[in-house]
Amino acid sequence: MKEYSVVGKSTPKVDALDKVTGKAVYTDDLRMPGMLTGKLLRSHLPHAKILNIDTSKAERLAGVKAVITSKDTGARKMGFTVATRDFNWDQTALCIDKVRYIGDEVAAVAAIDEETALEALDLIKVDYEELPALFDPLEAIKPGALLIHEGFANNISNEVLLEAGDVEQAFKDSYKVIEERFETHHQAHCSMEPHTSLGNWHSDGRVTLWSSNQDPFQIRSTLAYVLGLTEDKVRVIVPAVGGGFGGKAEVFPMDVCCCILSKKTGRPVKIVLSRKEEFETTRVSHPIIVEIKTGVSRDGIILGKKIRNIIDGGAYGAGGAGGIAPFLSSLHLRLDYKTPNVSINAVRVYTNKTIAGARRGYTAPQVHFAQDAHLDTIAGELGMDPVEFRLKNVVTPGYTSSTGIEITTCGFPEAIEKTAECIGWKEKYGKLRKDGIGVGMGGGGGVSGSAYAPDMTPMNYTSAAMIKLHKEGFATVYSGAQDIGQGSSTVISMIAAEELGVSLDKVRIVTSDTDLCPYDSFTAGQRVTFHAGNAAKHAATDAKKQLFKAVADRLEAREEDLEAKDNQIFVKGSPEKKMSFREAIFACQEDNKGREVVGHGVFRHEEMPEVLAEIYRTGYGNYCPAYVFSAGTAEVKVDRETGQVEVTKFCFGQDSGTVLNPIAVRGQLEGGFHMGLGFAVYEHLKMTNGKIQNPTFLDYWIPTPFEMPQMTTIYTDTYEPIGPFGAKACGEGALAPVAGAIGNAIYDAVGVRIRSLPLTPEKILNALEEKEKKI
Amino acid sequence: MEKKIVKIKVNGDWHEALVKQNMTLLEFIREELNLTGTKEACDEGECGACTLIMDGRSVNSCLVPIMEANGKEITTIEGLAKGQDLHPLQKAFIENGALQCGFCTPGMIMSSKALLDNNPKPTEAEIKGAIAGNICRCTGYNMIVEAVKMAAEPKS
Repeated sequence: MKEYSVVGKSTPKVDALDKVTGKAVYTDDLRMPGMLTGKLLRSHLPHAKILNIDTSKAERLAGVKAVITSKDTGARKMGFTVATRDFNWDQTALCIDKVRYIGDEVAAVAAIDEETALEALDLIKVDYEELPALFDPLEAIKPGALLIHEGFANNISNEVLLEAGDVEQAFKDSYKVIEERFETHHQAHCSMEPHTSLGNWHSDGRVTLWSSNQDPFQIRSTLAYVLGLTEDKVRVIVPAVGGGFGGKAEVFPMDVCCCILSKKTGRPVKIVLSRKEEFETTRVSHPIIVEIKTGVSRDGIILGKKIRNIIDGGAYGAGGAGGIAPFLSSLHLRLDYKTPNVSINAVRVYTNKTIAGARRGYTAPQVHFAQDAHLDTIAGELGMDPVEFRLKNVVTPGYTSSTGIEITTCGFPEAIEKTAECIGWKEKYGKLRKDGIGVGMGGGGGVSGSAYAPDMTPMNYTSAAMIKLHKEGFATVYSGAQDIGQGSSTVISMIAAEELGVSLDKVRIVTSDTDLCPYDSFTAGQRVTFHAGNAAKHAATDAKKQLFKAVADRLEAREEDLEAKDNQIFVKGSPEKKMSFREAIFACQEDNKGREVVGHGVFRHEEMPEVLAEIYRTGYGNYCPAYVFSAGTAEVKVDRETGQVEVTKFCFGQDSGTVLNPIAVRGQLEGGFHMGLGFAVYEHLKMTNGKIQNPTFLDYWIPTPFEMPQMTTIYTDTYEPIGPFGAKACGEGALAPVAGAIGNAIYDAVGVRIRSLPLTPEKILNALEEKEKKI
Repeated sequence: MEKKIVKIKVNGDWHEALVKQNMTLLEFIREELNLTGTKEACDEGECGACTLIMDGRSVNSCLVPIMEANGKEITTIEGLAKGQDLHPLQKAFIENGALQCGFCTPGMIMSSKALLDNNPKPTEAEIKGAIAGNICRCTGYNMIVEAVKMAAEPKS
């Protein structure tokens, strides 16, 4: 492996010092002169017509400065991808004629303090006419079911239909055809920082929004549209973000409302969601029913796969991140194991429930749970070891799938082998059932550099970066990528430092401001290191080239013979002929009559834009420049008396390409495992008739340090040529293997197959009882 | 709501203020004193983000009525470093990658400090117990537990 100076070494986060001293400023830490508190009035009914809204009493309350309804926020809808604005943006900032879930925003107030704002909400009188509601996607999808949104037949917000090869013929040719059905549930993101927005409408007609979000440029675009402004009038600034996980990727009604309230009052207005609102009204993961049918040959080769995914979308969101759920749920089921013949139908269905959206791994944790259980079932039917069966079918480097996915590098086979070895597969699998101990494997592929196409400009799904070199001997990187805690500002700084040949302390970074930073389409889809990292690398190359030109003359060398390292530029082979980084910048400015030395860089996925524009409907094409792979093995102990599952060990096999910042990657993987463990075993946002029953941390229950097992991570030896310094991604894929590995380990431990998440003691005990009866 | 005068020592300085009796210590710290390092994430005492130290004990400041804090001595995250010298826990959290988004970090460090002040050589289970009331959604806790261990046993 190439020797690097900065990347590849564990590096503390560039914002760590502020975060351990309490100096990091999050949106709720901002205070402004005259600032008001905003609050939202929400529907208590899951589905109802709005007959009348009377705000007069609230307006008369002392200390109330403004009350707004849809009359103020208008009929323009919010969404994510401008390309789909006309056909699937589905939510206005405040409801006009109908509420569609418990929590739907109906009105908003701004007052001098929180107490007054809350009192004002109580004084707003809304007359509703309750409508029948749909909570079950299988009911909602039935012909003749009432429509939650006009114009969406069978309540289907969007759909993918994808066929490749001849799956029916493949089933005829198969030795066995096995069919199973799996169900997954709602997980809440639970970012520790609640969603917070602060709007300030300036006297000159411009507006600034400070908000805890992942995508300042997308927020600006949608916000401008909804407010009826051109984008130049809107500035979005993102202070420190206390976790996102996909849940802060869209414009929320609160963003629009705080701006309109500021316009009406002439004062800045801040809205902070309560934890209950976080659980009930932000975003949750999509529950997915996965029906999967697979045909295999006698020697264990997968010949064909037929899949139907029914995705519970909740009340809105198809114009938002929800719009790509069907596509991604299909992608994650045809990315990791070779399948020549596939037929996939995935539908996202509206229900009168809280809105589902992107959640870390976006559909991968759900469908990989199903796929991994299914693979073990098939292996069992064939009398084959599950690891051996996986290795027979796993994708390999250079493989192009029947649906157009082009695998570049792939460490998945290595990851499978090494995690099996790590958990002691040969010694343990099928051998420890008498003690209630089992091992299981899970895993799969994920995106690396998702090329979501949210903008109809030349900027389309790009990441851009600029680097300014200062004659004092340091560099400032301007990046549009958003650090939401994952460490992107750190890794982007490291990439820039490595390419410039300087130490990390010579690099500063500016992000999170649409007026200051170059465009970045969004911070999600495992694209930041890949896209924004590459953009920063290219910007550094560009800046370095300008320095080399100035240095070459002075050192009497050719530009191509120069190298930058350790804050020096020197002639290769003659290190005594050198100039410091600072001197080089000075010289470059001197040559250009004082012009600033600025490097530009951009990165964009090469797939044809017209393919990407349609990929969410057709499913066909190469979605990403590269793909990451994660395998995981779990060892569990199951108590047959109580049904309790204890995960005692977990081994990750991770193909992230080059590991640029080992300490940060470890953090992503362990944090991803923790969220995956919650998803698999503990966390369940329970709803009855659209009402969330456990919207508190106490009742929802996220795993504590005591539930975390001993963890080992193995990185595969992969170098991705398109990635920055060979890197791919690591933030989201970590969830993918967890539920499958634990579910399969439970099967190995006690012989019961649980086909729905979470894997609760109750389900395990019931399954054990069923099994007893059969014997 | 009747107002009362409270006197509270925060990070070494006495602060006197006329406050509504239904105010919480968290509101006092964040809104009256503008010490925004202490975070509010649930306001129900269930997540630990607002943890600070009151008379030597870690408390969820969102659950402490302001009158209960009257006359007491409080340390917040801002009171940990001495000038530019970080507390060993702060150093260990940075070095060990024990933070990501940072929103739980002040509370997590304060819970850990209360532990180490009372029990300088805790076992791993004691560390886990001390932070079990602090939710972290980012790290998966293992690196935090290691950081607390590191702070308790500084490298010689």
